Amino acid sequence: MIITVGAFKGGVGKSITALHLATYLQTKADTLLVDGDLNRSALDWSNRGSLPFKVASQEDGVSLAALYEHIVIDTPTKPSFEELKSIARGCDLVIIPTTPDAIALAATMQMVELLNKLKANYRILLTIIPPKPNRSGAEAKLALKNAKIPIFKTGIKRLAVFQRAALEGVPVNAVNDAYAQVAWRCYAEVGKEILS
Amino acid sequence: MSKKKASRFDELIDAARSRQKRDKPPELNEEKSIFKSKSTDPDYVRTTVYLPKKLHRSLKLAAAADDRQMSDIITELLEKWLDEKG
Repeated sequence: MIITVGAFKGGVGKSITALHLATYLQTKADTLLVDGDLNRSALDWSNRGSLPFKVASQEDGVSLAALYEHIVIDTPTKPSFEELKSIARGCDLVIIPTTPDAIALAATMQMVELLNKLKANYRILLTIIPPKPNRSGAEAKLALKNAKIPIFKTGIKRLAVFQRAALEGVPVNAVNDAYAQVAWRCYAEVGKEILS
Repeated sequence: MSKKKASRFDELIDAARSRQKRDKPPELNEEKSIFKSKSTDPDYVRTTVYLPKKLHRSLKLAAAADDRQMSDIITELLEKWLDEKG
């Protein structure tokens, strides 16, 4: 399966999403994470610690792609229309992470419009959802549902353990933290939704 | 510049697709089963050799890139070598 993670806005957990989905998919079959991001977050992450799957730059990904069952592509923030076109044509699923705030949602709607034009298979993933009593996560979900935009049932909670994992260069399920399993379950559920 | 980038995505996705095409179509596999697989062909034996890890990796990559079997590549090279040796 070829999955692309892309967003028009930075800081919405795009690389974290790509990395954790690759971690989940690796438990099912060999997975390659292609870091197309100019920040090279994922490559940087893998250099810092140890990740359970293969990470490659976009250039190296071309020769490696044929060897892997699942491929997760982390795209640069705000991909060009040309890039979106290749992605929409070739991917099984485009995942658009977005935080439940007006600015990120506006950027997401722009991307959704383009992907609709390209007839891409995409789904929105709400990320960095603040804990209760804040209702922004539930509200954003309802708004997207009413707009008939495909969205994952599971959202990703705002948890400090994600930052710790980034610092240590491992996925959250490898961090020794009380919230590690809660955080990991968010992505494991999303992974299940993808494969079902 | 941006055009070049889009084509890089194209390359990546094509490479990924090539793997899927090989995995997916079951009808094609049935057709292919007319070809004898080497593992059941009495004219072939399976053997073990030790290769440097790096070389093995390069071989695997080259084989995947050309969509050929490692066995075929090695057979071809060995035959050539034995020929030259006379």
